[in-house]
Amino acid sequence: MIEFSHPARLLLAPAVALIFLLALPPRPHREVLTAYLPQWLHALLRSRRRPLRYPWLRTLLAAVAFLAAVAAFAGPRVPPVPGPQRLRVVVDASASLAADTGGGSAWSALRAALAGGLAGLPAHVRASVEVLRCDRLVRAVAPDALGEPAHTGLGMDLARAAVGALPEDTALWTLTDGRAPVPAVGALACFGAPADNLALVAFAVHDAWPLPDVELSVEVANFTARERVVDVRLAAAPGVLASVPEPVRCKLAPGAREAVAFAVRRAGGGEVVVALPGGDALAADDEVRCVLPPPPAPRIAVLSDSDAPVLRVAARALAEETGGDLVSATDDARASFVLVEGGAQPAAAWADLPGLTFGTALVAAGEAPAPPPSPAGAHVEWDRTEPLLRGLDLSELRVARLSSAVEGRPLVWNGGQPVVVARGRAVHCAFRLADSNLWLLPAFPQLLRRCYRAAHAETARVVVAPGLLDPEESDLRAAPPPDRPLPAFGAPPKDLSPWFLLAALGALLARVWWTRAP
Amino acid sequence: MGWLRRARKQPADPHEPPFPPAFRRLLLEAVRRAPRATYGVDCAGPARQRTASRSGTFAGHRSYGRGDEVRDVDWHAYARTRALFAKVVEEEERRTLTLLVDLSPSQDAGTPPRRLATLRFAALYGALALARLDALHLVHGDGRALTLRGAASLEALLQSLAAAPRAHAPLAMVQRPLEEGWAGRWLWISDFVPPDAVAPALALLRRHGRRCVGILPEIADDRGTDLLGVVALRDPESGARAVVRVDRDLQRAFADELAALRRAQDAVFRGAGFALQRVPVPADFAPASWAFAWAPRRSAVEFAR
Repeated sequence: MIEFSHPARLLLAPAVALIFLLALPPRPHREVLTAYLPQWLHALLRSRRRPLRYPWLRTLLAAVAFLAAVAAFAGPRVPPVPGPQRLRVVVDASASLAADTGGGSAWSALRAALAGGLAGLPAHVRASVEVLRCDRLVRAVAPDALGEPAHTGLGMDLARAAVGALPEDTALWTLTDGRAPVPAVGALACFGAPADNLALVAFAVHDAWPLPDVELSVEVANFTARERVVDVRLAAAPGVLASVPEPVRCKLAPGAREAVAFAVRRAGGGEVVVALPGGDALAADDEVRCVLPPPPAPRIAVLSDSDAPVLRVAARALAEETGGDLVSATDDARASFVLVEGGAQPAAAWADLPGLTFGTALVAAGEAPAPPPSPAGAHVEWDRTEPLLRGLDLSELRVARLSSAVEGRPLVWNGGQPVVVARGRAVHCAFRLADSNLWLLPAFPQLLRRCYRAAHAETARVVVAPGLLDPEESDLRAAPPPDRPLPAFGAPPKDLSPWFLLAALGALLARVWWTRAP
Repeated sequence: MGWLRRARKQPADPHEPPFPPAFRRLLLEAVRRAPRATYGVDCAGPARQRTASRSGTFAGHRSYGRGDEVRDVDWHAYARTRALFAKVVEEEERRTLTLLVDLSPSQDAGTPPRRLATLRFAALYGALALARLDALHLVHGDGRALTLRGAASLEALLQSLAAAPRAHAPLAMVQRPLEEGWAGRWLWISDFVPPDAVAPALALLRRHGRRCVGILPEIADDRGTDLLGVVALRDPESGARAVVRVDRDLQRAFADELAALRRAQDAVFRGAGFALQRVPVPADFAPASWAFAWAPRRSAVEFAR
């Protein structure tokens, strides 16, 4: 079906009759009977001439060229076909796609279907592939570079991510296993089949670093149709834990969940794995890994301008508790934690030095220490949401006298005035330890420990490997929703003028060739 | 002014009767002047023929047919084969003429048409044969044959020629006379175009020991053309038509082609051991011109002897 954008120009077509008229050969003035027509033709051939005939083929080729040119001038085109001309392919690359429900994984089937679907698209349809993987929407992915499914769940709303900001002329094709809510619009291709699966659906690590106590807790779910007994085991390389606990046996009813906790003691730090026996459809949710930080080896130094033993006792207690040492105060370069009382220190030196100061004035180079603030009030308030102070009871804290002004993130106020602040890796107290009853409070050892941990937050961090799936991802019992086919794609108008011009040129070339042919 | 002259030139009338009264008078005169011609032989001819046939040397058999006398039947042969055969004597065969006349559509070409010349030449040769010889076998272009005897058959000859079919099948023309065992002289009047078409027939005649002379009535168009300008040429044989622009170069090239055609015709007859004679046709077809053209034709006269 062809339409013309300028049909009025087709009125030039009847002029093709002029070509036929101009090609008429001269009319013979006489007709002669001859028995020697072959001799006449041979004589013509010898004279390199031909009989005068109406040049039907040449005229026809010229007429074809003229008509093709007129048609090209009129703007021929194939009319557009209504419908989307772009395709947005959203691929669910969550870990559940790796489930093997028999006959290969759903991911393999998805990749094959994607390759086949893209190959079967009309040439003018532009397709963009977007992959939902690890809480992110990765756009413009090459179809052959999908890789493998993620080790985590989808982490986002598939339906919202797929339909969101969908242009009007774009069709949507979602490829998923149907474990997450699927978009209500567009084409849908679901892969996989119902299967039984045991999964770890929750994992938590309670690390008491710098203390060696660690508690790992998991939640086991039975996504099968029958009761299952499963052994949850904890594994670690030699030297990571002081001792590896025995596996914990769980008896799970269909659809039931059960929490399992392992209390261990850290030996050297390293990777710890909590795993199920495996062998089910989805292996990605059968284990979870974390890396425990190594135990600290603190080198604690004490710097005090008084002979009060409280600070030294506290330092010794912290060293013993964490297995560290007391080092000389004069060699602070080797110290990993410094306890300071009184005096004045350059602020630049404390920029990145871990420690805890009491009544120490921080001054810039060449400046005199600021005068001590006014005497503290009786009422003490502290930030209960601060990790350093969470759970500590400082209501009995009494500060008799402030010794220095402190600047930083306030942690404790006395009479509305910050008396304990955090700055960098250090915590500064505006009072000397002897001028308060802090060292008498039960919270003091914990505060010391937490200050040490805060000063070494990077070292004390527990790294949990990603891999814990959403329970919906691990539950493979439900059948995926039915597929929805791709819509009929539209097509843009196709300009045929170049083809008509090419046909005209071809007809002219054929006419030239025919003229010169022997 | 060439076009004016061409326009004034009147073409020959294609419907002109082939044998007008003037030509008939010429024909009778030619018969009368024929050497050793006999007049009033209407009754004496058959009597002389019978005498000659009985006194000749036995030359063979031919199928007994209408017109043959019963006494010519070879009863011994009939006893052996149960078929009637007439005895043929040598003297009889030597005194007949087999005249092959080609009146195919190609004879319509020429100004005047070659067909008129062919008919009148055939009439002249036939009339001489009727007057001088014992029999004339007239063979038309489609192979049909007619045997005439005596000058009294002159009118029958002219009627047969006037009603001759417009065909020319060389092999068919010679096969029937050969089957009949006709000997004597053979005369073939045609335009012999194309030459290769008559070559097998001539070869067949040679294999049967016949002597044949080709007569080609030569018209002006056989030597070249004076046409100029855009001309439509039509082959009356095939109906093919071609429009050509004729100039001097094409005239020369056409004359060369005609010369090559004449050489090819001569080669065909020479290859068969026969002679081909080209007899110029008077341009105006006037009886006087025919007489003038005919008188010096010694070949025909010698042939009649």
